[in-house]
Amino acid sequence: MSINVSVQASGSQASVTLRGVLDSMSQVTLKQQLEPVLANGAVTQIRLDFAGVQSMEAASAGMLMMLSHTAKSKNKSVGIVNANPAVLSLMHKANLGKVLQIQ
Amino acid sequence: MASIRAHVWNGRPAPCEHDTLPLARIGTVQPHGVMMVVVPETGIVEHVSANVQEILGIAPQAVLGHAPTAAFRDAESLARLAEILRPGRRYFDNPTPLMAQGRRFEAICHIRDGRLFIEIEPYVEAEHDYQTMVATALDAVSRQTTVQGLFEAAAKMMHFVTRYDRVKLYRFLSHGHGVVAAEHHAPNSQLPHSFLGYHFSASDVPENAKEILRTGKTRQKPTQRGSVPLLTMGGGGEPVLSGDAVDMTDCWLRGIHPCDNGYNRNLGVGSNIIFPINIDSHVWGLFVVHNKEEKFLNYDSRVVIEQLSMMFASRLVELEGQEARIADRQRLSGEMIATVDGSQAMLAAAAAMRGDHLTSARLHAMHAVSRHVAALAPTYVSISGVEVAAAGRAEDRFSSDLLRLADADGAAVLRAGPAGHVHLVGVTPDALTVRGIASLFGSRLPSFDSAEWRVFATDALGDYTPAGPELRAVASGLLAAPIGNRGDMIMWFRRERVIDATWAGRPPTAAELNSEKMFRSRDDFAAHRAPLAGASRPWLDQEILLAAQFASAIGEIWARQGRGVSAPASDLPGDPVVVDARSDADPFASRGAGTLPATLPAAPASRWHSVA
Repeated sequence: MSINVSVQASGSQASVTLRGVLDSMSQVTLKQQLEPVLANGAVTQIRLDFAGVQSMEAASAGMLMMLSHTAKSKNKSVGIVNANPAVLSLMHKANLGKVLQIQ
Repeated sequence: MASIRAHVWNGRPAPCEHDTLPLARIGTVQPHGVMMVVVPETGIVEHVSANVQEILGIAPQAVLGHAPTAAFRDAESLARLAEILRPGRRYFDNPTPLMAQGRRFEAICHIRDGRLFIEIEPYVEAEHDYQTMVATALDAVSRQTTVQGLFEAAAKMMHFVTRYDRVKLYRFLSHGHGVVAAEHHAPNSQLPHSFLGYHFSASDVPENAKEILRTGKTRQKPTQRGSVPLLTMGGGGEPVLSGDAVDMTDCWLRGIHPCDNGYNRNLGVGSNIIFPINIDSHVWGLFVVHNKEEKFLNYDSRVVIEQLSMMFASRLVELEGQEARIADRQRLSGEMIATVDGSQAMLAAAAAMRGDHLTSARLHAMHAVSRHVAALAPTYVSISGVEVAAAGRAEDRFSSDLLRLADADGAAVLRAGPAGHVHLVGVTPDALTVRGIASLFGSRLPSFDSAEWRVFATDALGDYTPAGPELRAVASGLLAAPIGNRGDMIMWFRRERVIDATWAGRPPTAAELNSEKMFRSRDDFAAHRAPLAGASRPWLDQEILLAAQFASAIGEIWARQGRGVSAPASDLPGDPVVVDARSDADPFASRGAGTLPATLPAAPASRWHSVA
């Protein structure tokens, strides 16, 4: 199962919409898609919309932590919104909230 | 939704006597903390560990049937507990600091099966704060550029956070066994013995324990002082044993089975923590952290290590993909698919010809396209013996690319239908054996009915089929994907790799696996040399995915051509056309070993028609 990623950047905010399953295979796709966003100096806030994410695996949680780390080093913040209850539960179990914002 | 990992069959083939130990519902709690199980709707304690008197100074019967606040007096603690007990809460900002009896505690909360679990542990100072630890770990993992470098850096980071004597990175192998792939020792380690490179038997991890590890739950055993019972209120209001009533899968304080306690004692370990490394709900390996003396870690340190394990898994997938040149192979796959697609026009035209031109036109087409490409073309035209492939020619490149795609030693393309055919490349079992393997899908091997990924992989075919030594030698590794829905298939093979393994203790025999010995603590960890056979190099998830995508793309070409090109008059729609009955005489096939083992059933005649 792949992940579809669409990115919309407007001013300082980049909105990234994800659709599909976030597992060890699709995390590579997500990372590649986010590279231009991380490189964009104008963007200071990255908002990941998880409404279309059906499930997420632990390795992907690790990728999000590293993403947050990279973003911080470039003075950007990362937030996750609209995650479904199952994904939200995994995020809390992984204590992702200690590393990035979950709304 | 199942990941690609769900299509991989590896692991321990035979059950073990202690596999079904009720570890999640063990009914006991480790002695250093107090567990309360609360009914969220009422806020009343349903179960409490028997050590509540010793640690919080209140008798179990004064807690059971009451609110958890009964065990606390401090106003701030009471307010924090009230917030934990607020109706409707599903997530908690762990840990919550509490005070009782003049001591500091941390409460760690979670919800499972409609019950609120409150685990109360004595507070322990960490050497570093959470932010320092997580930033250091993130930096170390991110900087690694090789898989082995990642192994070593992660083990070092585990020590940085825990300050335990010894950190082992344990990687699961085929048959469920494992090997210590990296190790880090504290400078003043009291456990100086190294297990680096040692293999451990699959039976060391009971299946029920692995099931809990698969949830990602860390196993913390800071002391080896046994366990205390979990209690609930009996009919007469008196505390009675909870028994197996409570599922403690997600609990830090879950009790320790006596076998496990003994195992660690015999290793000379006073405190240990096991952090699973999960990749798509599959336990790839473990970080096993040992300390000679009893040692406690606070919650934040454990969180950092759990997060480090997740980052490790993420980075591992990335680096394995880089080292295996998956991106190059994806491009290669695209080129091969385009070649097959482009070859179709000529082959289909040849196949559709009638009359005197038939044979010459097909021969011409085969010369032009190469029989290796033709084996994957929608309308199959096979011919061999016309000329032997020579190095550097297009057909050789295509065959070697087919192997390179999956980093395989051999490959087979099976065409179903009345004029079925097996096309072999590299080191493979013979055609009849390949057909026999194909016939096992849907019986001994899984069927390809998943709409998501239609692929199967194993590193140890002999664990799931009655393969003889000859077959195991050339095809211990099998990666198979159907093309379309008519029984056509592509298989890749990897040869058996026999490892000259050093084991930590002699692995149990088959008889011992099913004996009472499995309930006794292991006490033999001395180096024991014995080969580890019956398995190939493991397939990477990314290779399996690539194979599935390749076969799917070929199937799409066939389907598209089937809709757009008229079928040959002499065959059923879409059936392959075979010109040369000696087409199994692949020049490489003679190098491949393997005869159909007596125990492998032959394929049904209606499915795989031999032309050889």
